[in-house]
Parts: sequence; C-alpha cells; structure tokens
Amino acid sequence: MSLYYITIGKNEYNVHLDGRHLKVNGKPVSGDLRPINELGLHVLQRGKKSMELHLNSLDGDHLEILVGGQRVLAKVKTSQKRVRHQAARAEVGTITAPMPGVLVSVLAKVGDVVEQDQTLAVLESMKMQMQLRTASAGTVVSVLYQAGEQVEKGKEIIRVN
Amino acid sequence: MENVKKVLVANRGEIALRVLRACRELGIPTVAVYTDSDQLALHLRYADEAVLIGDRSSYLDAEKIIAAAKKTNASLIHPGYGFLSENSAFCKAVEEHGMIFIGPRWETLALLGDKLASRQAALAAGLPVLAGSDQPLPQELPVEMAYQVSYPVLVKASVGGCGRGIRLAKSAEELPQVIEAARQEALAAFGNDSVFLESMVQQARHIEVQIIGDGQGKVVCLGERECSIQRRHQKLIEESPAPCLPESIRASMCQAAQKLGSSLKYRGLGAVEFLLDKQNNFHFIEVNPRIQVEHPVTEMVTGLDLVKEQLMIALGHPLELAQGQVEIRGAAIEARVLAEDTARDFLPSTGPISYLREPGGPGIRVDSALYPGIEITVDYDPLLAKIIAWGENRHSAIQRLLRALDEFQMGGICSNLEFLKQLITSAKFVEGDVDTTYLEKVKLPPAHQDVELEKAVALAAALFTHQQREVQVLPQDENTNTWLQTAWSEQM
Repeated sequence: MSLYYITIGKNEYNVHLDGRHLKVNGKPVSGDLRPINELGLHVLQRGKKSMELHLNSLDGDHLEILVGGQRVLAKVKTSQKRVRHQAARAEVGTITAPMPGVLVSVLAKVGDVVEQDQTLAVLESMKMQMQLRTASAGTVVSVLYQAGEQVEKGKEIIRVN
Repeated sequence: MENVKKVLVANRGEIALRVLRACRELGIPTVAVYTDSDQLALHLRYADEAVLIGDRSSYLDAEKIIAAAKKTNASLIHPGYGFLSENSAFCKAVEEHGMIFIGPRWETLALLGDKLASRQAALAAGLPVLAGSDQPLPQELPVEMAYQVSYPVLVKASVGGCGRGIRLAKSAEELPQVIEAARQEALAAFGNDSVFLESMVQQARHIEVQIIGDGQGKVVCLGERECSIQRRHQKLIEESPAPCLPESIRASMCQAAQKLGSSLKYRGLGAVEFLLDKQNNFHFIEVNPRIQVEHPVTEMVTGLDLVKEQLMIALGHPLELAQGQVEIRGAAIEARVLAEDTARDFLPSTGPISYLREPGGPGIRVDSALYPGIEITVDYDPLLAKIIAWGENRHSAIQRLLRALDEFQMGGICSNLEFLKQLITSAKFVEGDVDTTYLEKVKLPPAHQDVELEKAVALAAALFTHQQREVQVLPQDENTNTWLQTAWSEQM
C-alpha cells in the first residue's frame, strides 16, 4: 500500500493506492492512468469518462500537469518523505532577481539606511522595467551586482539587515 | 523566371512567419535574417535563405539588414512590426539602395513618427484631435505651466510608439517627476527625449481604423478594431467590428481615417488610432504606419489577406479593391498569449516549451512561431501566439475563442491563458462595455477552482509517480536477487 500527498495550490489531497483499490481523501474512487505515448501524454479513465492529461516531472517532487487548457503544478510527497521536508523560506532581507534580466540601475550602496518598500534596484527583462523593493527596513550590508550586469533568476542582488 | 523579386523579412517570431507564408503562397522567394539568440528560431528555417546578422539587437541594425539584402539579391524588404518598421531613415536607406520598402514612403514615416507633426496633419485634414500642446515641452518646465494644465494629463514622447514613453500625471506636484520619467524612457527606447502634453480622456475606448492606400491618393477603409483591453499600454484583446458602436460613429471614423490617408497619399497599410469618449466623440491620436499585430481580426471579417495586399502594392500593382467591395462579415476576436506568470505580477516566464499543442477547428486561426522544445528567452518580447476566433456574431466568436484557449496545451513555461479565459468571460467584456482602464478596475473572479478536477489531477499525479517509481525499482530488483542479498548480508 502506498500513500501520496498531493498539493495543488493551497489544497492538499491524500491518495491511497492499494492494488486496484484507490482512495482520494479517504473516499474510494475508480481510475486508471494509461500512457498514450512516451512524451508524457496520458489518459485517466474513470468509468466511461476519459480525461486527457500531459504529465511531466519537474525538479524534485513537482509535476507539471496540463489538463483542459490549464497548467497545474502539483507537489507530490510520499508518506515517508513528508515529515522530513520543510519548505525553505526566503530570507526577508534579501532582494533576489525574480526573473533573469539586466540591472538598469542600482540605487543603494553598502551602508545605506533604507525604508521598507524603498526601490533599491531596477531590473529590465523582456522590454519591461521592474522596480525591486526591499521588504524590510534596515541597513544595506551587501550589493553583489552593478548596473549593466546580467542577473540570473533567483540570484541575490542586495542584502538588507 | 529572371524577374522574380525576392523579399527579405527584417523581423522574427510570428510576424516573420506570417509574411513568409504570404510570400510562399505567391511564389515569391524569401530571405530571413536572424541573430545569435535566434539560431533555433522557426522563421529562418521557413525561408528559402537565411542570413545571420549579429547579436540579439541586430534586428534594429539598418546597415546589417541592408547588407543582408544586398548579399542575397533581395529587392524588397518587409519590416513587419516593431524593430525598424516605422523608421524613416531605414526606409530611406532601403530606397537609396535601389530596393523597395514594403510600407509607406519614408517621408510619410518621418511625419507620422513625430506625434506633434501627425497631430498637425490630422488637424489639417479636418480630424478632431485632443486638447494639448502643439510644441514639445521645454527642458526647464516653467513652474506656472504645471498649474495651467487640467489633470490628469498624459506626458507623451514625441517620437516612438508601442505605449512606451507615455506617462500619466495626476497633479501639478508630480508633473515634473513624471516628465522626467517619460523623457528617460523615451531616450532609452527611441534616442529622443522630446515630450509633449495631451489631455487624458477618462474611460475612453481605443478604436483604430484599418486603411490601405495605393500611394496615389486612393485609400480604402477596411473597418475598425476595438483595442481597449490593454495592460501597461500593451494590447491584449482586439476585435472587429468594435462592439456597441453606433453605425453613424463607425462611418464617421472611417471617413476621417480615409481623409487623412488621402491627404498623405498614403501607401500600404496603416492603422489610424482614435480615442472614443463616453459621449461617443472620437479624437485622433496617431497613425501606426505598418502591419499591426492585430491585423488578423480584420482579415477574418473582410476575407482579405492584408500581407498579400501589401506585397502587391509594393510590387507596383494597382490597388484593385474598391470601397464598395469591402464587406464586414461576422465578428473576430484575437487574444495574445504571452509568456508571463499572471500569479506573480505578470513577470516574464522563460525556458523551453516542453509540450505543445495548438488549438484548431472551425473559425480558429493561430499565428505563432512556436514548436515543441523552443526556448523562450528574455531577449525579445513575450508574445507566444495569437489566437484569433471568427464567428457569425460576437457571441459565437467569444465561444470559439474560449474553446480554443481551453484546447491550447503548453508545458514548461507559464502563460496568461487562464487570465485570458477569465477576461473574455467577464460580464462587462461579454456586454462589450469596456474602456482602456478595464484591466485596472475589473475584479476578475478568483482563478476557477474546480475541486473535482483537482481530485482527478491528484489521483493522476499519484498514479503517475507510483508508475514512475515502479519503473525505476524494477531493474534493481533483478540485481538484488536472494543469492546476492545473502552474500551481502554475510559479508557484514
């Protein structure tokens, strides 16, 4: 018997698989998932209803599921893994690049005292400029990129303590 | 044939493919240009020949494009939209090299590229314009001037377009800062920081009239397009005909656009843009002297191929189309599918498209240059595809568009597909009661949460993960037979 915890958005569903006996959130359901091809296309057969889905494993425990024009991201945990995993929380005082792009300007230097929501840098990506603001007030302790530099998604640019 | 003329397409993405398709249908040989970042782009494989012109900004490099045309003996250049399409110096250079620019004359581009000059031209042709300044603002704004303006007021870049260099000032206090921001944006985007003021029409609709001219003074009007659904001045949904527009107003707008076109002896395609206020008064804003992103909706309701018409005019054929032959049939709506994460403040989304199935079926047209595996980068704009739906009336066009957006499957990146669906099913949109501020004001219902669907997805996700694990575990089982396990445990 296997137990999976599936998180979609804010909702968590638990799915019991025990041979041909399936339960979602404790309620018995019927269902059979069959691959259509090797590209990830599947059919979920539930009684007379067949639903087409495209399933694709992403990094870690995530699946990308395309169904009926929707793109759903699901987090899958097995019963053993669930306890050990804990979401890494982003540090409040860091400004990271929310997308890859070029820094148009850096408006803070080390030692600056900044207020909450103050714009500390401007990032340009796909012809759009975006102001990067600090979520907390404090002192700038590091500035890792200069204006004109390319920044990858997720990289720390400025840290405020 | 010796005299077959070759067309170079100085653009990328879906519009490059659109032009190449028209050329292929007409049997015209084609040349594509591409950059380092576009080595795997679809358009260069679709064309008969392709020339690498340089780094990612090279689509803006007139010299490189002209050199590519010379090298391949292309005699016509189609600029598409964006990039060099409205650049009069480029157009002039193309003509000076003995080639044909598929678009208006360079003089027309120069005039229309200057918003103040086009304002004067529109006034001279008798078109209503917005209250505003007829001169660019001086570098040092006189203090009293800020208090003579009625607010809110728009600060607009004199040159440029595509919604860039346009800022709104709500009070005299913030005007100097807003002017400075607009100047900086205009300077960065167009190399010119000249700005002027134009009054802001509250709750206006953005309606543009499609014209086509033969360059001799004959101008035909191909109906209008409603383009009020915009985010950050970028159009998102366009349709033709404009909903809830009194027939008399529609006729007056078309006449006005035709008058302006005739006065300019306009050559090729142009979109004359108007703002329509709550009292149904329309005001000229500008002319877009090129093929528009949203041209397919006009093609769907008129049955014409606008790119072929452009090519025929450029090749010197007379414009045979008469105004009386233009008939608007049914309704067409276009939705722009963008690579953006609507849940995270519409941030650009990048990466390879891991799975792709585009919609089809009755009344649906998809203009894109996508293929499975294509990498979406931040180098160019986020337009992934345009889905255009035609129906015998607006209601049926909306139904078809919704069905098509449901069919569109794209994995690997985020898109605004869900947002578009919410938008075209929102009550005011369905009624046709929208203005350019609609997206700022509208409270879209929270993303449709179908718990039954989620349960099915959760079940599929669990079954999929389970099957994957079985596949991974099985081969190992063969190695870990009882004999090996015994030997291993005895070693310990």
